[in-house]
Amino acid sequence: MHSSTALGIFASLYRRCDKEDWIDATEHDTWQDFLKTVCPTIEIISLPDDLSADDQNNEVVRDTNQLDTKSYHELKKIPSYEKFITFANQHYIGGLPTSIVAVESLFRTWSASCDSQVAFAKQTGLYNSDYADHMRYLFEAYNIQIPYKTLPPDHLSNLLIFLSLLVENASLSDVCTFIDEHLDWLPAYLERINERADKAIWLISLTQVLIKYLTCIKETTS
Amino acid sequence: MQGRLISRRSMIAGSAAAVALMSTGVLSMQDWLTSKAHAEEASKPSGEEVFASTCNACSSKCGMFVHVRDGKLWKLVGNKDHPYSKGMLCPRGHGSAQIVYSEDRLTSPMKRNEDGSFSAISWDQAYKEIGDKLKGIVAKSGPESVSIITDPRPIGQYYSQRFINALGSPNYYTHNATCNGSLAAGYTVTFGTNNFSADVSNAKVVVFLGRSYADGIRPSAAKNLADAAEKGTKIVIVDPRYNNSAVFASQWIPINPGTDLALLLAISHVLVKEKLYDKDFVTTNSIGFDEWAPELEQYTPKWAAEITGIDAKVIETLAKDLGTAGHAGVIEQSWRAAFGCQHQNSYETARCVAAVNALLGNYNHKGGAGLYPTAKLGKLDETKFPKIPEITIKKVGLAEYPLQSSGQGIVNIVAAKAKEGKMKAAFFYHSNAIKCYGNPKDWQEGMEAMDLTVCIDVQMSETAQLCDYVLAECSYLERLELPQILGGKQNMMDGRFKALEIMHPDTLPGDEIFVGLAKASGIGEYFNFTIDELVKAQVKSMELDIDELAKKGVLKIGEAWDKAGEPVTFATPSTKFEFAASKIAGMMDKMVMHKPTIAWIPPKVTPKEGEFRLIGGKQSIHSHTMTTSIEALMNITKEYNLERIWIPAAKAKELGISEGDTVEVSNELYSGKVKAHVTERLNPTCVWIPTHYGGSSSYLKQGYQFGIPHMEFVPFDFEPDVGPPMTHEVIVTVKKVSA
Repeated sequence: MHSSTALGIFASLYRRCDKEDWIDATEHDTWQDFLKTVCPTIEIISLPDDLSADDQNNEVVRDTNQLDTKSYHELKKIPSYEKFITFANQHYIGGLPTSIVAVESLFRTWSASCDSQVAFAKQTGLYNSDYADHMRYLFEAYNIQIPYKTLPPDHLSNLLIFLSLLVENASLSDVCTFIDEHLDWLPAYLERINERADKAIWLISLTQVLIKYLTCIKETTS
Repeated sequence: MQGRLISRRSMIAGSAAAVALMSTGVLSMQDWLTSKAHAEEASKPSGEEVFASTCNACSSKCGMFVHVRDGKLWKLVGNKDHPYSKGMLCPRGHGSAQIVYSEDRLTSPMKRNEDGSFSAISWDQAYKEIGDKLKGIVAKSGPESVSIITDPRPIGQYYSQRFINALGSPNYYTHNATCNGSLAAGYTVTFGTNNFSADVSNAKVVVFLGRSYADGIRPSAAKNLADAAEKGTKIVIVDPRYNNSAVFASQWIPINPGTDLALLLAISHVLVKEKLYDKDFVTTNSIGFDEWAPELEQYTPKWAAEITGIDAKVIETLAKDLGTAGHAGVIEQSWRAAFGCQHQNSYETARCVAAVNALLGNYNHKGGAGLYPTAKLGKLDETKFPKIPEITIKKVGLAEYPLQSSGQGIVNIVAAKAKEGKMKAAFFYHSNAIKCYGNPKDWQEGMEAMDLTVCIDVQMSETAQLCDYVLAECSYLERLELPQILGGKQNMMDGRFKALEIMHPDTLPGDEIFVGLAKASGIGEYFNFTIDELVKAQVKSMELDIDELAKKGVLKIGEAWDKAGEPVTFATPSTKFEFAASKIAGMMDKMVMHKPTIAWIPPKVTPKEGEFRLIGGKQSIHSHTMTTSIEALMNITKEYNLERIWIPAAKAKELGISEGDTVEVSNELYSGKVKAHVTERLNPTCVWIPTHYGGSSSYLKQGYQFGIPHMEFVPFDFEPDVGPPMTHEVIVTVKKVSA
């Protein structure tokens, strides 16, 4: 599977996507392909003798980079759409103690400008920071409509779609620059998921894999 | 290149051609920030716009201008022409704008799950479910079983009242009902309107009972006070606490809380005895003086000294100073402070404030108590804005508390009747009732007993947390507001115009929410207009120009009031000032405590040895509990330890408490721990806490469990005959927990 496609699948999963998008992303073969793409260092060691083609939950795997294989196994257990959307309706919205909205600005200083005269300019954890402004600028500069326009321009889903376009079309250094500057907050986001939704093992695993996958992309492009 | 929609599906299908991206911009964030900074240094950045607006941090709504650069908030500047701000904004005004970008903002309408958690739903689902339930409740239990409680901002006032009245219910309550319900009712029964305006700028002697401009609301009020002090006005602060306005005062009188009435009765005694009152006013413009004057004989300064803790000579001197100042001596009107809603004698205290001003004959005199008429909106086209049919049923609560005005109502009655099973549904618009109006436990019981509770707000307040549905409103800077008429010597109209695009697409302006609810509830015919149409119509009805209002932010209505010194016609049944209230005389069979003439009523509770009265008050950086989610304002709190409880120094010493010690404050209802501020600046019979803290909503992280809450200590009670919650009839003990 091409990286840009894999990034598009990731993008679907951090928002309250509709059922059609969910099915597209998690359909069996697509999902297998996705896992192979985003967990490139996972190697299947053996399969039980009676394993059917449709049941690979009992695979034995190892990660050739000695990384944790737990995330891989967790991601194989795809929740139903109903379970996913119930989760998303409680966690992917703002204003709740369980909110884990994947928006970059919430992990950044609001404004780097010395001129901003609002009382909260140097606070972190506010929507619509300079990083959102930059993304808005980039979408406009590249003449692209914001993919998920009901979400902030610096929502992870929008960032990943933009990255997917860079991966397809831009220079190697641009890809790395974008990952370094606009996606380096993901470890902090992972911490937030652990704080506020520690039972969301599937999402935790997905985010761990995403972080590692971005590193892979950089290493591949460099 | 054509703009194109990138969708995951199109990428999977490979239908998007691989088009080379022509980078016309700066990909690197750091490089982009640098180039932006250079552009800002070189010249005014592109896209700066200025919008006339009003603050939303408290009910004053001071006028301001909102500067926006590239669609983002840049700065806020007070409107110099606005009478409340006069070019300044208080800390709340600056800090509360953060709510626009706050992580704690609600971003979607929500429904409560069985386990108490919330899930996002669509607006269509929200409207349908609420509408169906509401129609069912009204059909089964009548419109009187439904109520709405609103913060009295213009949109809240108009749309909330219209909504509830269109359902056939009179049960419209505002936050004012707990802020100054006793005061407003007491004033109304004496001089016919619910407030007056002390002419501080021209007074020779002005007495403040508990109210502190420097701890409160409007920058212009604090400035007026500072100017008056500069001019040599005698400013007397009567307050158990040496509040922040006392720096301007000539005298601080640390009265025992709840006894202002005794002080006022004694002042009245001296004014009458020493013949320092305005005989002409009393003779020609009042009724009931002859009935009341003999009763004043018992209220000597010596009598009052025992009760108030103030030396008799001090009381006598104060009375004589006022009497000598005559028309330019005034008792300031207050708002919440000492008798807005605090004691079982608050209503009576308000009556006596009005009576002292009447004895001074200062109504509508320079330096006195101004009764300035407030303009009313002109008539609107009834085909576009149809009138709501008249409601014949009485607002719930007025039968039990007949001295309250129907305009105010008694807001805690909603919880009381809900507990009885008589109130079935309640809507809350920007109202944190459970935290601010009455004991939270009683409110929680009431809310849990109701069949439908709906909250419209921008954040998950403690009240929202208990509701069945929480409807996410956009922030005040993202919407158009109805214009506000400002009273005073020069009536004005101000406006708030939309400054920012809505950031969270699933949030809506309050007016649109009400329209949606109305349509779903079968009363949509009364809401067939947009807010743009309504604003234009209201502005036009005052013969003002909306474009000019949008540019200047505030416009004058008519000519300035210039009737100083002219005889006053009071809006009372007798058209005169009523020392003996004809309203009370006409309903003595319903009275539990009050009689037509003003008499001493003690506070309901009195601290014994080892106990304190718990009193609460404001700080200038917060508005009730609304602003404790704002990090910038809470940083100030934390830096200056503003959450601490004030303990009188002598009592602290007895209890072994030093500055910064952790103490436990307890009564039969609640116990909480907080750090102590030991001070000489407090009457020894009480302890004081700021009423903003002790948040119990884990959704609002900044204020969560920081400091102790006030209302948890307050018994759920109603002032006899009047209804407000008597928030200072609270006795506590204090003990040291740790250093």
